[in-house]
Amino acid sequence: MRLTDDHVALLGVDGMTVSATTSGAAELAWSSDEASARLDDEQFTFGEGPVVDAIDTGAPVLCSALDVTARWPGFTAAALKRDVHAVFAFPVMLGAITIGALMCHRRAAGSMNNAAMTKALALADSLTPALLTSPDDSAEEVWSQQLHRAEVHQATGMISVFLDVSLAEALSRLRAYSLSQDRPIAEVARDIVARRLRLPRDFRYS
Amino acid sequence: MDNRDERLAATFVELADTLVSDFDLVELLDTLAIRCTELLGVSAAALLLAPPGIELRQVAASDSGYALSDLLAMAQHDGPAWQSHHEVRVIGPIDLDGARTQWPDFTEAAERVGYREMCAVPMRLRDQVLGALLLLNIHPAKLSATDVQLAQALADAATIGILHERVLRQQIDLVTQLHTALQSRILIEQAKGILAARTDTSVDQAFELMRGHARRHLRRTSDIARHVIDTRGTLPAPENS
Repeated sequence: MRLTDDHVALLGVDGMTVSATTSGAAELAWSSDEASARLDDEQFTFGEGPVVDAIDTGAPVLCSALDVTARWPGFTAAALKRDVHAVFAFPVMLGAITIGALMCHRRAAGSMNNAAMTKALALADSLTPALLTSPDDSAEEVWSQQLHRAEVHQATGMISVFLDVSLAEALSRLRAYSLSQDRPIAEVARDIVARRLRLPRDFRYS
Repeated sequence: MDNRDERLAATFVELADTLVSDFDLVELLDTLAIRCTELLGVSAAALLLAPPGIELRQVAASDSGYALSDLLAMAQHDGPAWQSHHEVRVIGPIDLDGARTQWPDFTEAAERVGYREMCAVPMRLRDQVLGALLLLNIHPAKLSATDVQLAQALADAATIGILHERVLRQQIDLVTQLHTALQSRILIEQAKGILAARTDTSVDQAFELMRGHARRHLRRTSDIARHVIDTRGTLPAPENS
């Protein structure tokens, strides 16, 4: 299974991502473009959004008008700022187990028509074998060569040493700092890894 | 519907319920063995399974008495259950005289603990053979052809339950593999950060440190990364060489 822009066009959306579940937050495996990847970063930073819900519930999550939903306050505000008005997430299942999710987004509000929905569900189903391959031998599969959030994980490790906290605590401080500064988490992480930025020891997000 | 039909319907509902809710295979098979005695009027019922490459062995019985379990230990390699599993067909119902010519040792042991009739049906689904359901009776010539058909239906239900559980377990294995692969990549990135901060190097240099160490000591980079994380920034000491 190799995802291309044709799939995006076929579903009549503007962008698409594929994520895989981990013991923590879902990891981005593939994105159709930079804007879609950023949208996934927003979900990662806020810890909420259609992919989070699709993975939690194992059911499709359809939101045709983000400006009227109160479902994900943080993610929704960020998505609207990126001119995204509709999001649709479909779980990638293996039997009863959710192993990931396919997310589509559109600038124009409005629901997905039945034909597109059928295709999206079929596409999500067809992603199961690809998501089950190891990301290490995946040149042909949905995985990109590098972990999308490699720098976020590296920065997490550095923060845990600098602030003498656990990895989980380090990650939540990185998230909180990005939110407080209203900057993309990937960008903040890059600055930390490059030693251009050190998180203040006593920083608390409220 | 007479009383047995009702109980039979209830049994299948019970089995279907077991399959969807908190699924415990041993519990399902125990339930089935007990229902067999109730529905078929036999004195004892047991399920014997043979995982691929492993000999037939007893997994569930309608009662756990010593007499029955000794006999079932024998049934794993002798008698109607063994034959039913190997020939994938119904064996019996057969009385002691008939049984004695085929399985003298097993028949003698069965007679000693009071059984006078035996029957076995295979547990199979299409080309997969999983084992056999053994029925034992203290009364001779009691099982009818309908009883045997019913026994086969119950055995089929058990077979579906077992295969269902096997599929689930295989799926869980696959998911575990995926998680491990993805998790170890995340772990390596975190370890790069920890080691870089500790040794005041770049993350690329930290990765080279871990990879070089892994190569020199024939270990996986992900194992080295885990050590770095667990010890908050040290490489494992080389093993004595």
